Amino acid sequence: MAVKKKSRLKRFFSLTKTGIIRALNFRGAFFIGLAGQIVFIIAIFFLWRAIYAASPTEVVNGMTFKDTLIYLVLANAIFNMTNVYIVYNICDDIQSGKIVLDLLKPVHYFLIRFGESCGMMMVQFIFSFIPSFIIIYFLSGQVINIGINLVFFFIGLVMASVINFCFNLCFACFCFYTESCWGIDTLKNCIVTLLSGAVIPIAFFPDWLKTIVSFLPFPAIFNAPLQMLLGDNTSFSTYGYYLLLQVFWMIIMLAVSLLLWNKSVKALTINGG
Amino acid sequence: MEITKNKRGIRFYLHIYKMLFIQCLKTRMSYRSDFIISMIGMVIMNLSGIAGFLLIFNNFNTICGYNKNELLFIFAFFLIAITPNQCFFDNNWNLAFEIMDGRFIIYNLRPINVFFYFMSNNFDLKGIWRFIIGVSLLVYSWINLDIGFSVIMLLKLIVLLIFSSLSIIALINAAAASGFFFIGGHQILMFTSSFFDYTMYPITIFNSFFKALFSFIIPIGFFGFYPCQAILRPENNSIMPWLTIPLGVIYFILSYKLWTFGARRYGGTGS
Repeated sequence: MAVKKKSRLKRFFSLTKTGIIRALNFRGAFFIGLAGQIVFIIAIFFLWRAIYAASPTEVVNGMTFKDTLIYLVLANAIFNMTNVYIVYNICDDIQSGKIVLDLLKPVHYFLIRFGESCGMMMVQFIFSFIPSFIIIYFLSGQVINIGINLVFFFIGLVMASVINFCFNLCFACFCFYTESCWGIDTLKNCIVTLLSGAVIPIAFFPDWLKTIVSFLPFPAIFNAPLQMLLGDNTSFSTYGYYLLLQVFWMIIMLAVSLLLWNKSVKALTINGG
Repeated sequence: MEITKNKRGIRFYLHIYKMLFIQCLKTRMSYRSDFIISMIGMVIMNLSGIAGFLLIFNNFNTICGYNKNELLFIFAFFLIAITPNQCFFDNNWNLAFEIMDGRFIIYNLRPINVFFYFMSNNFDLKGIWRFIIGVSLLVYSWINLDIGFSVIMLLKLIVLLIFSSLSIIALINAAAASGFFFIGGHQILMFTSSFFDYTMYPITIFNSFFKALFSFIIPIGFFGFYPCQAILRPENNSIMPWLTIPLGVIYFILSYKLWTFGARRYGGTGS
C-alpha cells in the first residue's frame, strides 16, 4: 500500500516538473509578463492617486489610497499567477485532437493538467508574484505586516489555485461543444478580472453586485488570501473563517467541474473524426 | 520586345483584397459556433471595460477634472479609433507564429507588396463590435455632456479618428515587427497591447516623465485623450489634438518601414 502511494506522488511531481520546464522554456515570456505587471502598477498608482486626490474624503468605502493600491496590485498578481492559460491549452488540445492522447493515459486528466499548471504557477510565483509583492511592499511604504499572516496567505494561495483550476476547467468544458478557443478564454478572463476585485476592489462594488459575487467562487480565490495577508491583528478565528470558505468552495468547484467534465468528454467530437 | 507592364494600381490591390476577404470570411463562417462565441467574447470584453469604469465612478466623481461622461467619451473615441487596426491589421497577431514556422517566406515569394498581402490575409469581423459599441457610447456620452452638436465638431472628430487610428496601427505594427528581430515577438505584442487598457485615463494623472513617455514613445495619449481635447476642452485652444495628425502619419510611416525592413531581411527557417 505504501509503495502505491509513493508512486502516485512521484507521478504528480514529475508532471509538475514538466510544467516547470515548459514554463521556463519561455523565459522571455515571464520577464515580459513581469514588465506588463510593472506597467500596470505604474498606471494604477497614478490613476488612483489622482482619484483619491479629487475625492473629498481620504477613506472611501473603508479603504485609503494605499489600501486600494496594495489590494489591486496583489489581486492582479494573483490573477497573473493563476492564469496559466489552462482554458486556452485545453481548448487547443481539443481542436488539434491531442486531447485523446491525454484522455487515454492512466492518470485522471485533471491531475495531468493540474500537475502541469502547478509547475507553471510555481515559476509564475517566483518570477512574477514575488517581484510584484516586493515592489508594492516598498511602494506602499512597507505597511504590509510580515509575520504569521504570510504563512496563512501562502496556504490560501495554494487553495486558491485549486479552486481557480476547477473554475477554469468548467469553462474549458464549453470548448467541447463550441470550437472556440479565444472566445471562451476571453469571456472567462473578463468575468474573472472584473468580479475578482482586480480592476476595482470589491469594497467599491454596489451592494447588489457584492451579493452576487458572494455566491461565486471569486472571493474565495482572491479576497480570502488577501484578507488573510492584509488584515490588521487578524485572529485565528478570522483565518479559520477564510480557510473554511476556501475549503467549501474547493469542494463545490471540484464537484461541479468533475460533473461537467465527465458529461463533456462523452460528447467529444474531434476535427477530422 | 514589348514588355507588358503590370499595372499595380489601386484597382489591382482592391481586387486582391476582395478575394482574400471573401476567402477569410468563408473560412470563419464555417466554424459557426466559434464565430458566434468570438463575437460574444468581443462584446463582453468591451462591455467589461466600460463596466470597470462605471464601478469607479460609482464611488468617485472626477478624475483629474474629468467627469464620467467625458472619460466615457474618450473611451468611445478610442474604441472607434482601434477598429481599423482590429479589423484590417489583425494578422499582426499571427506574425510571430508564421515567422517561427517559416510560413512567412511565402509572402516574400509573391510579386505583390508583402505588407499588403500579409495584412489582407486576415480580416477580423468581430472587430466590428468595437465600432458599434464605440459609436453607441460616443452618442450616449455626447448627449449627456451637454456640449451641443455641430457639423464642424463631427468633422473634427472624424479627422482626428482617422489619424489616431494610424498611430494605433503603427504601434501594433512596430510591436509585431519585433518578431522579425527577436524570438519573443508574440509576447512583445501582447505586452504592447496591454497599454490599450490605459488609454481612457487622462494623461494628466501621470508625472512629467510618464506623461512624455505615454505621449510620444508609446503614444497612448494620442489614442483618445489628446484628440478629444478638441471637443472636450475647446477653450484651451491646445495644439495637442492637432498633433495627432502629423504624428499619426509619421508613426505609421516609421512602423511600415520597420515592418517591411524586417520582412525583407527574413530569410526563412532554412529549408
